[in-house]
Amino acid sequence: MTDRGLFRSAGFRFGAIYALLLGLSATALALFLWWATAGLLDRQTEEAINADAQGLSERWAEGGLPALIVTIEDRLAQNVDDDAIYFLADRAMHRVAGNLERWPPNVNTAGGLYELQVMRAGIKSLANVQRFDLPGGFHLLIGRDVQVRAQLRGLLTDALLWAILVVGLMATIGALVVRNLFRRTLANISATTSAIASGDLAKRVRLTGRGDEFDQVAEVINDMLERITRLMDGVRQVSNAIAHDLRTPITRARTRLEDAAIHAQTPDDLRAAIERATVDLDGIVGVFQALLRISEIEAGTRRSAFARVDIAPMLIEIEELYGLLAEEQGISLAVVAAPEVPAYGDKALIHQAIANLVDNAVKFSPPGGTVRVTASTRGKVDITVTDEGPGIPASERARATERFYRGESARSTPGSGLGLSLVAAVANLHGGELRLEDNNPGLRAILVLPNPEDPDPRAAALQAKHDFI
Amino acid sequence: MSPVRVILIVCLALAPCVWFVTAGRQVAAQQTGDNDTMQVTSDTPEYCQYLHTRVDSQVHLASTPPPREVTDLSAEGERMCEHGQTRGGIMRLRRALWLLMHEDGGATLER
Amino acid sequence: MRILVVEDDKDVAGFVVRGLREAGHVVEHADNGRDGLFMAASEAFDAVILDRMLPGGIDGLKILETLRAQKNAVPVLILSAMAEVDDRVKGLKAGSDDYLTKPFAFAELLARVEALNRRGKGEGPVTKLVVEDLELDLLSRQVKRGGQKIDLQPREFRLLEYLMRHAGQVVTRTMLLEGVWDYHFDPQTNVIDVHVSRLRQKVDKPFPTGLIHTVRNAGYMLRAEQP
Repeated sequence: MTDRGLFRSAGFRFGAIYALLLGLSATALALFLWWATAGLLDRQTEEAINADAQGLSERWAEGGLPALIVTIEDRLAQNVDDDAIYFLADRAMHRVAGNLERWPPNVNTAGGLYELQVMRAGIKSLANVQRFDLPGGFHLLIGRDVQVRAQLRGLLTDALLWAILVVGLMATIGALVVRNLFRRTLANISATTSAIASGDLAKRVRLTGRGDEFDQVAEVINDMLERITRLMDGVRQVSNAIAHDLRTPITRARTRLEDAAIHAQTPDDLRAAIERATVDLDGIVGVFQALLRISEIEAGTRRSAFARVDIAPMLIEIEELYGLLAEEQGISLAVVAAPEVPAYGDKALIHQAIANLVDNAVKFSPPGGTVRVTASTRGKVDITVTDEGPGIPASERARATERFYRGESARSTPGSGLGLSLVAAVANLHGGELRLEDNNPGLRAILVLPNPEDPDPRAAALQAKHDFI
Repeated sequence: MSPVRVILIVCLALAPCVWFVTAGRQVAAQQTGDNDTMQVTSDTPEYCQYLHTRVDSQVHLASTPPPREVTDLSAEGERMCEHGQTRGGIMRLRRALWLLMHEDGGATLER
Repeated sequence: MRILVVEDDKDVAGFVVRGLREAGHVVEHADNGRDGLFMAASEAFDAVILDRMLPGGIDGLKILETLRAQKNAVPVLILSAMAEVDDRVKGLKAGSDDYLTKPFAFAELLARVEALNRRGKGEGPVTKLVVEDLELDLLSRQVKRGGQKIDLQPREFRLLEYLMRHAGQVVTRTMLLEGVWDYHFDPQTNVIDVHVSRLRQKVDKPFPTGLIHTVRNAGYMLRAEQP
């Protein structure tokens, strides 16, 4: 995988997202910590001051100024924690009671908390104070020592600052790890596809076995690679077959023409030679047409024309067409089907596929034999064509649907060897299959089409994962 | 960029910043002027004396003899104050007073 | 027939034009789309043979669409190297009357063009087809020859009807497969021959003259026997 620069790599993005998430989580945690500790202390201080003020105002209400003074002095005398600050001042801001020297200069308004630097026996400390204005022009100051809180706040701040550094480090490391993980997983896929693109078709993407999303992608890619390999093999095969099987009629035509050119005595001889050559060429053209048709079918472009079709009338037509021919050859042709055989697919292709099977059966049946065509619909649609001819030996059945395959016993009969290949292609296109079995004697060819009642027969056809040859 | 290099760069960039900030704050904290500081008058030897006097008067006014703890605390407190450990002494005297006030079933000084 | 051939391949065009002329037709030729369209639109032809791929910016289908848009109903046969059924359908939808793929046998082309001629004649609804003493009644589905009733299966009837509608013209096996059995592909065996042979048994054999003739390398033709 080329390193397109740090910022454009998806791996970097994933890593950056991880780092960002980590940072945000850490920040959230830190804020919560702050609220739970330093924040708590703040709230406690405020509550304590308010409670104090409440109590003192009650004393004032009960006993006026004298009572208030006494209470203040009592509270101070019993302030074991040594954290309280009281100051009662008169209209002129002179001390009436309390443990401060004088009214702090900047505490001007009542209600809010002020921070006050105080000195307790030579030690600096910090206090939060609040001003209360009393009727009669008196002013009351109540406060609490918050030095501890201030220290805690300092500690926390320092700690968090260093924590930022640590989180930053961890985020960076984590991001790099994530990016590398990402890269490594993709590297395998990327390396495999590169190898294949440069010609090594045998490679496959390694699965980790975990069944996770990456494995699923790897599986899909491997499936695709299988298909590509198969198609490429098919192409190679076809090229070979074409080269091999078409060379013969092309050579024959050429030979005949050359022979006529040299040896023909009369214009009639020439004409005859030319006519024979034309027939040969037509034969070759026919083979090409059939090949094209098969390729077209395999490419799957006809799927868009699928519709509901009834196979029963097709069978009747085929029976009509081939019936006479069978009779001429002394073969009995029997068609058994329900009045309606619903299916889903391309009418013309299915018609041609069945016709090909019947054509083969009639061609290879010996006189006195029977060719039977049946259609059954139990779930899937099965169209079976049986004959009592030489059949196809089990060992050759797998190859029977390859293009240009001619069984050893069929080498002498006319035909291009593309019939079964086309039927197989049609079957695959529809998401079904062509099964070849022994009819004892003879061949039983079964064209299986999927159930037309499938919730989405088209999806079933599209998902046809059968091998294409 | 190699991962190790990235990490180093991040460290080198952040560490001095953090150090600078924390150090700076501590310095700032120590530099607050003495001018703003208010003296708390309840942490002085005089106040210690005042508390001692109060404890004594409270003891005299009580109906029952004071518990051992109170006496100990009071004595200790006075001793500490004389030796200059003002805050510690004040704390003990306050505690003694508190014990006295709350044990007496609420016998408060009324003036 | 007056036939217009629009084909840019010199060899194919020469072959076709010569062949058609030898068959007794009057033939005009255009080798590009523009000329072809001009000639087809400005002169009256009995049939137009149109190649799909043409130089000059106007291809065969476009010519066809233009002619039909001008309400010109001249019978058109499309020649194409493209054999896919979808192309065939496209061609027919655009307004052509027949579609032939290259390479083709000249006999096929000739047979189909001449069949077009019959189509263009606008005869009005026909209830009876008659050739010599052979009568085919389309309403009652009855066939009589020389007054004698002939028993035919439905498919045999259809076959005979097709031959009679194209009486005097060559009917190729492919045409029969398409017209009578609605097949659009070639079976590998000679199924058609067997059916025609059976028809002959019923229609020709019991009678002194034969009407169904085999045309060598082409197909069949139904006509009165030449004296």
